[in-house]
Amino acid sequence: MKNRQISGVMNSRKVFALPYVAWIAIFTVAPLILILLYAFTDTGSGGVMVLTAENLARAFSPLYMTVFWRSVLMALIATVVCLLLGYPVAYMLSRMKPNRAAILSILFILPMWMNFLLRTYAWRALLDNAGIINQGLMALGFEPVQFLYTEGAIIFGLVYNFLPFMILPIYSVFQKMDTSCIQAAQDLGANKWQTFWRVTLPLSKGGIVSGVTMVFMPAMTTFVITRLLGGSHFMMYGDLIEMEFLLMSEWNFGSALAVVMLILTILFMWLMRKYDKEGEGGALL
Amino acid sequence: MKLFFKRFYLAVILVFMYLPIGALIIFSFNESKSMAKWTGFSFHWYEQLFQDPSIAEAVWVTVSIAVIASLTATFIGTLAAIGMDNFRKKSKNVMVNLTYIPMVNAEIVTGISLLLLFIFFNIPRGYWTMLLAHITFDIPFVIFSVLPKLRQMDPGTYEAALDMGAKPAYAVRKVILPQIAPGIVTGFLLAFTMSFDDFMISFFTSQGATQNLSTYIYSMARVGINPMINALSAIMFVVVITLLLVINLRSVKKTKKPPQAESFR
Amino acid sequence: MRKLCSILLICLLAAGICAGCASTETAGGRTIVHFLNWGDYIDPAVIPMFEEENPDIKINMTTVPSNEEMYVIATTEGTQIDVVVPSEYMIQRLMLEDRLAELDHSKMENYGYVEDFVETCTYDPNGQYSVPYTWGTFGLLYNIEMTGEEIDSWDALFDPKYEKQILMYDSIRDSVGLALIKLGYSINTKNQQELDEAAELLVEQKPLVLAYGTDDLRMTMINGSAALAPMYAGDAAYSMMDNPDLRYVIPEEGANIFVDGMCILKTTDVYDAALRFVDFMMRPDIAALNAEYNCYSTPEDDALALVDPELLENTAFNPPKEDLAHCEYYEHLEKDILRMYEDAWMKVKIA
Repeated sequence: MKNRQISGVMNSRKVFALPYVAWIAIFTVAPLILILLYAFTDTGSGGVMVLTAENLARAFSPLYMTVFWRSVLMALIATVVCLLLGYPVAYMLSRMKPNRAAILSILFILPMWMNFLLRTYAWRALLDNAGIINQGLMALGFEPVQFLYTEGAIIFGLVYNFLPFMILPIYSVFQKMDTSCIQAAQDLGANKWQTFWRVTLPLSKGGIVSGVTMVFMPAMTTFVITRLLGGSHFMMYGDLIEMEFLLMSEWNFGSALAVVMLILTILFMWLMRKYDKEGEGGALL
Repeated sequence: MKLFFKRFYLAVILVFMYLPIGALIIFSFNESKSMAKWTGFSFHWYEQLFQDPSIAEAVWVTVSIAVIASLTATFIGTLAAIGMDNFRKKSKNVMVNLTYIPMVNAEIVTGISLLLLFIFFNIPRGYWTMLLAHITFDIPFVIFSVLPKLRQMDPGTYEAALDMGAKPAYAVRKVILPQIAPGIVTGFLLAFTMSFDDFMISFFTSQGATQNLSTYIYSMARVGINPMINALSAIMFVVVITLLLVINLRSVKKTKKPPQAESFR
Repeated sequence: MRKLCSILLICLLAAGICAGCASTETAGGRTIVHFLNWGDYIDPAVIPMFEEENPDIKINMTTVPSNEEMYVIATTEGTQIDVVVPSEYMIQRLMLEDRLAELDHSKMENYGYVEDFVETCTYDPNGQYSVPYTWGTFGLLYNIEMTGEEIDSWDALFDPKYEKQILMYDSIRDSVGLALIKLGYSINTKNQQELDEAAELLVEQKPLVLAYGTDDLRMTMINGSAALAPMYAGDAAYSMMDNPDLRYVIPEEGANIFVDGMCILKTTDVYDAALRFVDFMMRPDIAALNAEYNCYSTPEDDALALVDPELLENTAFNPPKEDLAHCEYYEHLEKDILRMYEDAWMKVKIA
């Protein structure tokens, strides 16, 4: 009986997934178990590992929660701005001739081919107190503006870096969308706004959710943008994790902070799965 | 009027996307190191760039890892998608959830967890660990590009091929692959782009023994970015955009002759 | 479909072109020495020179931005790194943890050039585990056009009249240390109350600060976008050459003095080749080349003689000896103490 089952697996297409199952076990599951292991232990005296919840308790202490909530707020604002800017772009792209839409969507991916650190550096040079934009303002007779080193500059940088990640998933949902529903709504006498609120928007929910995920998580954990554009006045959660691992060599506490991020990740995965019932990641790409 | 507004909006967003890139390219021809004051036109940084062996090394690492990782991921990911498509609902759900993890998880957490893994198994960090990490985060992009194509496919064709005596491998190659090819290509491209621009995960998994462009640029930041790097990005960018234009023009010419229906969406 | 194929082709072509212009060198039987350096810290001509003179050795140099990152990379199990250039407090830590290989002075032709300087290095007075590569102070760089007066005290960084013209260092020890010096305490204090006072001072200073940063402060000062910044002497010397309005001073309250030394890790399996490289780096002509390139002071008098006279006149590169009298080295701090420093800095960051 058992033998037949095995040979059944070997003959069906399921066998093709075996290498990946092994891969995921080693490179996704095992590393996460290690993170949990580090988060819940500490090296006591004499290099002995001891089980402890101290790291996690510290991660949830007010000092570090301040950083957490501030990061949530900043990432949230950036995500909303990305959504407001990106949604119309995705919509317009999907209404274009396929040829032109293809070229334009490539134009939105293309910047990713240039190192993001460099692009952020370039913004910094442009926005500097003595930078080109301020030189232009002064030439036009305006007072120079201090763009850099403010919370606004951080949001600006986040939006710049992650906007394509909002546009693309929404665009791909629009592409797959059955336009006859919109047609039908219009035929039944719905005006433009009604059509949008009642039909278009609900149908594109999946794209919005995945866009939000693709922007929010990286925005929370970025650490270069706060440094380059924000003048390091504030810390994002990424800065904090980076500092613990690289500057303080506190691997156990750093892992505890990573666990906090993991909780957030799981929350988002649950959200996404709600809109991706077929389980094909359609909402994501 | 409305059309004008739409075009204007798209143009503004594109300017926003490309303004810093334009500035980078222009100032790579600047005589001085400054990105604020134009002091004169010069190829100085380009000359320096071609004499710097460590940059060449970083470019080589970046490109070779992106190529190998995305190809490997495409192979493993495509097979996995074909397999997963036939899983029972429950196990498929588990696999899809696990596949989400590297995509949704914070990059810094992925990077650190992989580093912990390599340390645990005492694998010396360097080129190969960076490659393994890249394959790991590349695979989900392939799987999620291929899975929807598999769903659109008529499941009967594969069975039919088997019934007519084709071996599974042959049937996959001749029946399934052609139908899901667009998904595979998209997946490969996404994987390649992700791998090419990755910083966080490369940084943690190579631990300074090997450097790709991103980690090289990051470490340079201690003393300020050398305009050589601007020159390099300008070259890479122009190469990509030129090839894109050339091929697009060619395909436009071709489509003009026979008025075929657009076959892909 | 066709379009996607074309994009694929583009990528492959681009990859091919990029790969083509990269020089791929295999070690080909040569011994590889992994050298973990600071970014832009070595004249690019130096390594090719070494490899030409020592055809059996290939140097694989990679770079990191901070001592702490260097420590993580160099000390986690299975590291490939052989040679590092940590600063004195990190050398001290590596020595304490027994991670450094002893340097065999008898095999080093050029050790004599640094011998005098080594005696002043309190962390390793016999040069047993490290040889100095560069040294310098952590002082105050200011734009005299913008301040309108000469400055000789850290007080300027806390003066409301320079609101939003002040840059601060974004590093736990440098920033907290600076506040400690201003308060008249040691930069290696283990006293919680002194650290609290320092944190309070830095929180008060925060509204005056335009930006916190590290390396990138250099460019902001050169552009004239800020008036004052604490800065490492090498960066200061570099900035002063690009902007003549900049002045560097070691404030009267004192400052941190640092030495970056070359060390060989105990885990190395190419000790002889690594030692030859370290020795080569100490040759006066090489030290002079590097000093001119990165503007950090060299510990060798023989190298100073070869350096561009203009650089020698620079007070950041070549400070008057009496100014160094009240400068202090960092000492390695235990984990618990370091955490006190971190907490102090975190208070500033969340304020």
